[in-house]
Amino acid sequence: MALPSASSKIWTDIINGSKNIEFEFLAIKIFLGTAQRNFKNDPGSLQKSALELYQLFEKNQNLPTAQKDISKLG
Amino acid sequence: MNNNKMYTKDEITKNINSGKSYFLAADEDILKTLPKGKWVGGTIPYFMSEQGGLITKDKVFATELPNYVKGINVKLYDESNIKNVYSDIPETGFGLIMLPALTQIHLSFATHAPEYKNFAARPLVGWITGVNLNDLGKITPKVFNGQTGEFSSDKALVMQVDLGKEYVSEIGIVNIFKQGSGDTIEFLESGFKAKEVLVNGKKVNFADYVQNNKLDVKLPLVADYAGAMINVSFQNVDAKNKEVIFYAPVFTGVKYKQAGAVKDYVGSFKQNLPKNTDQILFSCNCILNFLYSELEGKKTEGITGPITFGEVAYQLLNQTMVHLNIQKL
Repeated sequence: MALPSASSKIWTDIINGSKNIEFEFLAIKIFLGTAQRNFKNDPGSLQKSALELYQLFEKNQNLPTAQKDISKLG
Repeated sequence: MNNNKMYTKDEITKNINSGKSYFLAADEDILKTLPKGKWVGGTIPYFMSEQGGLITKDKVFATELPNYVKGINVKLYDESNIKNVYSDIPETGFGLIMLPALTQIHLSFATHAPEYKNFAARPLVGWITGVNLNDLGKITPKVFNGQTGEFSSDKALVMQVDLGKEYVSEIGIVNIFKQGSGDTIEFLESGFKAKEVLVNGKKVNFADYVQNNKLDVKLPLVADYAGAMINVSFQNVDAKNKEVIFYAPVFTGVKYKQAGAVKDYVGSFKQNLPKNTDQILFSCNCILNFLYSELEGKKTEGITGPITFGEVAYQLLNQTMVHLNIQKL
């Protein structure tokens, strides 16, 4: 499956918790733990965190575990 | 991978001189005498060896880098440039970080790493260097750059390793602790200390809470990071100042629960091991697991490495085994 574009709503949905996905890639889990905490403390961080989440996937999309997680985004 | 082994000083000296590249862990008296070469090292006398848990100042734990590594670069970081630590990692590689325990750079990284540019975007694995607990306050934990002979007790050191495009690296953790069924704890300030906290939404003094409820402080607080269980270990409950001190920072906006009890560490560890242990290049485990679970002389399923004062899997962790896997694409 192709990586959704940076402007896809899925990235903000994941950060704000409206879409829950069980990821396997540790980097994504740890990033999300921080990003979702930041969103709780400062809702204005949503767009920045969503872009960073997209970039995290983009940079690691050759990793088998990240590929499995990308397939869950659809 | 069978690239992790304990060596005598003479054996590792010979191997360094032959041009091999290493991550090393040993007492500072050994590291100071090693020849210059392609290695970085951190101080610690606690190890999980092939023969089991071991305390020694006479041997070196060495992780030999595979010969397909395309390049290495070693860099020291202080508080002015540690924010670049993730960005400096090669796009096709990983970073191995070591930070001396109980230093400002240790506290700074632990507290602020999630704010650094490219946090978690590239693999950063590593450990907090230490000393024999009997030597705390007498000698300082250190990091060594084998390329230059330089060492430091107040800077972080990273070996940036470029694997090229044929190999990928991935960090994993083995945490036998899970959130227990007790109270939910939220902190009003981020940091290594806490006084007032929210327990199930009610404001209480945390030191009083720990004492009144007779919490077993060998069991860490556990936060759920999108499915990853992240521990924060208790260091001390200061009844006089009514504050609790931790080995890693707690963060506001995170819900913590104390871990449930674990009866058999080795058995639980075995159950929680990943399937692909043959891909592990490097691993380390926490000194609190070593002490509380009495791992001296016990084996952890062939997983070997330094026993450390804190583990890094992107960020500082406690009471967790961290491993770095390499796989060919």
